[in-house]
Amino acid sequence: MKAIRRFLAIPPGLAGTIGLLVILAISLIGPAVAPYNPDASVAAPALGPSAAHLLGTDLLGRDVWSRFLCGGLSVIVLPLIAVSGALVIGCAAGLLSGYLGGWVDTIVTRTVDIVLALPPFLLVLVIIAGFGTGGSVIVIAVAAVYAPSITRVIRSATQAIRPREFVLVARARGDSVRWITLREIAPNIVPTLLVEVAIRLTFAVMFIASLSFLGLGVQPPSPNWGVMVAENRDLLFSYPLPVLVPAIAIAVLAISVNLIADALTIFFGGGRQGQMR
Amino acid sequence: MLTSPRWRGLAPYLRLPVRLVLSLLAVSVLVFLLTIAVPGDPARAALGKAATPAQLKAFDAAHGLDAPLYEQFGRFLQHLVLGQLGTSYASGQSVATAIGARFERTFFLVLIAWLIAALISIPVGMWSGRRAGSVADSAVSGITLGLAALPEFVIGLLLVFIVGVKLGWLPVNSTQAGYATTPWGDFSSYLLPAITIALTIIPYITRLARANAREVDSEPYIRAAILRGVHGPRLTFMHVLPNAAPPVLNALALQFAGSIGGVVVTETVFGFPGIGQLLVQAVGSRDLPVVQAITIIIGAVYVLVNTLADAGVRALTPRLRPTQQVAST
Repeated sequence: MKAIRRFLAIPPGLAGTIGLLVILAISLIGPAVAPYNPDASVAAPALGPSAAHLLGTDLLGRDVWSRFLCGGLSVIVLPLIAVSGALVIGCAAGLLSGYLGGWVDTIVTRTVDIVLALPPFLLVLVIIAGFGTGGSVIVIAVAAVYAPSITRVIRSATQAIRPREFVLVARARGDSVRWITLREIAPNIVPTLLVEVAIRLTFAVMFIASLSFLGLGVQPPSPNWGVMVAENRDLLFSYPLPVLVPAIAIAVLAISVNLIADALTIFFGGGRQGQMR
Repeated sequence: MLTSPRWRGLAPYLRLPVRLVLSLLAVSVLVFLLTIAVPGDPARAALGKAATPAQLKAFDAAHGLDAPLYEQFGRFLQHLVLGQLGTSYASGQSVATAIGARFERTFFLVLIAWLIAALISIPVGMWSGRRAGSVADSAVSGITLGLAALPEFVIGLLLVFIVGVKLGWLPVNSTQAGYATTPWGDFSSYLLPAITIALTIIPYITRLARANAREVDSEPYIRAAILRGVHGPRLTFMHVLPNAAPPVLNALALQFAGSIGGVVVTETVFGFPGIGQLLVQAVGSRDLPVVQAITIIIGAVYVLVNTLADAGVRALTPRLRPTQQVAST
């Protein structure tokens, strides 16, 4: 509790947390309070905002406000799953290569170097071209692309902890590799890990929303903010709310997570400079 | 990378070419694997559900898909080296023809964006870094933070909305750029997409320039210069800039190829007929030869630019030479 209060005392931490909570509330409560079925055509197409349809209707006559309320969940959940996946792979590979060293380390670092030498966006597009569009494919693709950079961060953090006394004692006791990495080393790299996760999450939110906007991620007719921006683009010139509201919501989400990442860096003593890529 | 003592002396000279070749090979293996990974049949995907078995077989034979894998990979590499990029499944057109003009347009688009970004972010970053902690500095930090967290398509659409719809200034649709392969043929359709891409690069470079200027500013030799009476622009440009520039130039060079994600999205937002727009279409319709060709070209440019940028910065700053590459996390 004290830690949370101290975190919220950092201005970006407070702002980011408020923004994130607002977006979370919309996404979680939204589907329950949406006035219309988000996938059904309920009125004439392309109506302007009115009392019955707060944000008007889209080109297929669907209620934009209802689609907005239902469209946030996948914008948040897909990046969360992708980053969690990358985190599991990255922690396993990073802890093992950092702790064991030797040939395990060589293989891991070489692989990481090669993957990181390529632009992530390109890799994800190649994976999508191979396996098709859709939510599950982009989650796997983004996880695969982010795992190497998390591996690299965890590896160097692990190497810094490895020569410490408590690790040496555990080795002398004859503890297993699993115990030493997970119980002795892992708790000590949690700060590094949290900052890295928050940074990755910012990118993942933007990345997956962009893919959905390009028609390669979440597929229409699913209500999703990225998809909504793409499908309502032609309305921008007549009345812009169906484009601007989901676009701004995505921006608020990404900025909030980014602020939290910055605040975490400050919170843990600025060990890692706020880096952006 | 090369750890045995015998190699250590050579390592600095070998590292770059070795990494270059390895990365290029990784791109081509990856792109080739994609052909195998495709669940289902590329022939079926290209010809549609109504295709007869005979037609499918003919398609496979025509594209060499009936040969064993190692043979396919060999031929794939051979074609790559010879620059034969195949024909598009979707249009039947030669991939090289489909890509050529688009590549040129994208190159100019990125170049303009990159120039805008460099001209804005380096001065602004330096300026705010030398005033660290002031109101102006906080404002710059806030703006770059916000910009950095805006997805490209949101930036692009906001620009369209403000400039095109509210102000009614520029064309908000760049499809006309199709008639000119160079920006001086039709500059206005290049401008908004270029600004959008620039806005995705600016926060990154500005923050870096700021951090570097701030660091250099606290160095003893700068204080010595100030004590000697050097001040104003002379101090900024003659003393701070040369010392703060190399890492910033490096990052800027990386952004030239690294902004590919932003380019793909931006071209789609503005209907700009470049290589990124084609890539999205090809990925969506799983037109593998086109995806392969574009991926390999972009991958090669990316790897090449990064390698050159690294080498360039190392040449610019002698003190970076010995151990700096170890320090990266």
